[in-house]
Amino acid sequence: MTGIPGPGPGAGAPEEATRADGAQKVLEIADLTVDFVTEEGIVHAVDHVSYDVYAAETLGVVGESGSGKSVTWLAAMGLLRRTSAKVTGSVMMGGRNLLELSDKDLRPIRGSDVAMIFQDPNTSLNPVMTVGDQIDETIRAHGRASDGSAARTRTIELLDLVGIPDAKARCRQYPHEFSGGMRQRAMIAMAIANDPKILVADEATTALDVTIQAQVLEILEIARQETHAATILITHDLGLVAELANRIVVMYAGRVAEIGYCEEIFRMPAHPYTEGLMGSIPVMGGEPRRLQPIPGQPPSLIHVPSGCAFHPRCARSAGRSACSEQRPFPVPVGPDRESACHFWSELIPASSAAPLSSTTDG
Amino acid sequence: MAEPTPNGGASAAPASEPLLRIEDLVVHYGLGGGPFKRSDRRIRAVEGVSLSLWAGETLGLVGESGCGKSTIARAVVRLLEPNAGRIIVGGVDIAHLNRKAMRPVRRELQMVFQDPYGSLNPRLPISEIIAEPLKIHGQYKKGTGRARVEEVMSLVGLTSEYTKRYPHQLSGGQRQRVGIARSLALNPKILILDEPVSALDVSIQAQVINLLEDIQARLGISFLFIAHNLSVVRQISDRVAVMYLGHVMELGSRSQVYAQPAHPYTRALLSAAPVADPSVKGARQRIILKGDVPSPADPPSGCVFHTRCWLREQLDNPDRCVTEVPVLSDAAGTGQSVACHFTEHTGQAIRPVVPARSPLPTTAAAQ
Repeated sequence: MTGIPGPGPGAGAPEEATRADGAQKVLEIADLTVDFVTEEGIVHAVDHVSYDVYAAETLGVVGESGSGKSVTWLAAMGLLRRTSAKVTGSVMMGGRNLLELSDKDLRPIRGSDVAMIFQDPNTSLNPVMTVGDQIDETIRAHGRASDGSAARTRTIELLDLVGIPDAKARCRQYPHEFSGGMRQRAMIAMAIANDPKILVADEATTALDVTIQAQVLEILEIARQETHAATILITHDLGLVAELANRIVVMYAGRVAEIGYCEEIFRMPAHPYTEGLMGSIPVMGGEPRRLQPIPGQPPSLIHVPSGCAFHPRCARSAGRSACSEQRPFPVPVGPDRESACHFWSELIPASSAAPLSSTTDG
Repeated sequence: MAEPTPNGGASAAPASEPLLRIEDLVVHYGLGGGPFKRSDRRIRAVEGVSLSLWAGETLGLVGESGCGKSTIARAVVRLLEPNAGRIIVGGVDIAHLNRKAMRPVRRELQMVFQDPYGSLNPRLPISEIIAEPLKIHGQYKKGTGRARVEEVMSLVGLTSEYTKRYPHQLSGGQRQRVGIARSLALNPKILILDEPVSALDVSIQAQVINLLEDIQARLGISFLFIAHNLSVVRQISDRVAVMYLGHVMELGSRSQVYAQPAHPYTRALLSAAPVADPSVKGARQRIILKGDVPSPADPPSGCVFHTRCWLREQLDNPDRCVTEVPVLSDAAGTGQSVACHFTEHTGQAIRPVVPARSPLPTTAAAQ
């Protein structure tokens, strides 16, 4: 019942549950669109986005502010329901479209099948409840513990796992008695309490100092190994993605720019925007070279440029009418690789893009 | 007058006197104890820091939150008065000058703030914001004032169509350009940049970094560049000071600090920073520090880093780290100063933080 016409070849073959390498698909976002109605006009926050999530992978979702990377997941989790947002498309998990579930049916999924960790643990933890009680509550809400003491035992176990020293005593403390890094650990403990299938970390370490970030990332990795959950790493930090992600979705102006394996995207971007991002970040090795920034500003999501949203800033679009007239939707450009650029073949040589057939056998 | 050192040439013989010299700077904040009790607890934000900024160079100041880097910036532009130490600009100690006496100094010494939203007056058009320092210093002359405003605007890449706009009509990157233009209006010798690109998206951040490099190349200004992002500091700095809990732990040229970090904290910091290059994934050895940064209200004795130091642990926890404050010194005479009792051990303890880049990675995933 998705009202919007499909964008053509979107997220690969929708029917398959496993990838060529045997990875299980756990969630499928198809043609997701989120519009916010405002006084100034309609904000196209997420614009026909399609991508899949596979079991146990770390999927990096990268983009700058306003690229729609977080809103995608807020919509998927039904967290935009009582807002002005208009959500269409589908988010399939376990044979059900999460967007069509009632709040009652969605509740057991939120926090259990899919858990989210947000940037600011100050606003995601309840300040007037002890940390232990909050985690107990999460466990009991999903019926994972028979009584309070069983829940508490599990809570202590979880806090221990995320490296909170003296977990038993720490349970009785309030969030303000925890440091920023400790709070984020508690958030992770809460998120993995019910063995989620998907763990969404939305800029989860952005507010932390480098040495604390390293600690939290290590905990996230431990949590992923413990739960075998797919981890969605939503971030603007290409460094984080390079270190942790298996696959990457690059977003721009509410749209998918490209999707692919981490190493391949860093080695050979298939979208000029990704190329621009890579040129913009200072590298750590060698003599610093002059940065190659993307010219101009990110577009307004109310007045998204015609055709390719990136074309006004794209060096490769100069004088090409296709870029300003036709919107490029993501097309397969290699094994498990998609690009939403009309001229992707100029970016990745034919040799690396050749065996398209391998994506379709199942 | 000091000879401007070319950008990147920090190793060239420095001029006789730095533009800015900070000596044994100490800044403590009171921890207000509420209306009815006086508190003796104090935040020891900066504890005896000495730094020099030479003509034409960029000195990067890195460290995590609470290390005192921004406090130094605020003390230097005298947004706060230091408790002890000297801040010498043009031969004059400005640490305790009053407002009036500071005025001519401010012409030489300008600051760019992190938050381009909070640091621009929302009620003034861009041209007025940039003209303000000129007016305050009586340099906004009829006839030439507007030309000067337009000159600095074009220097930062803002066309004249922006003169009539207000801050809320600009993007974050453009606002930061306005902040930089304002700081340049008086033709200062020194810019203090406190996290100038941290609030910006990567693509815009790169534009502003390039802009700063161009401005320095054209005007020969010195930058004290404060940031927590290690790769940004590496990109722009000639020399780098690494701070932790109010102390400078290591100071050296960019290549010294990044390629041969000698302090165990610097090593940990560099190893913890994510590197945007999947081909070095796994090849890097990461030092994960235990625990949190201690409170600057109650800093550890001896070396402030000893509570989290991996090297101290490897050396079987020598007492000296707890009892004796290490002095920042250039023991080897290479220009790289380190505040650690056991520097000679840092090098051997772990492998280089960023190994030589491997040739094109063979992606297992693609096979």
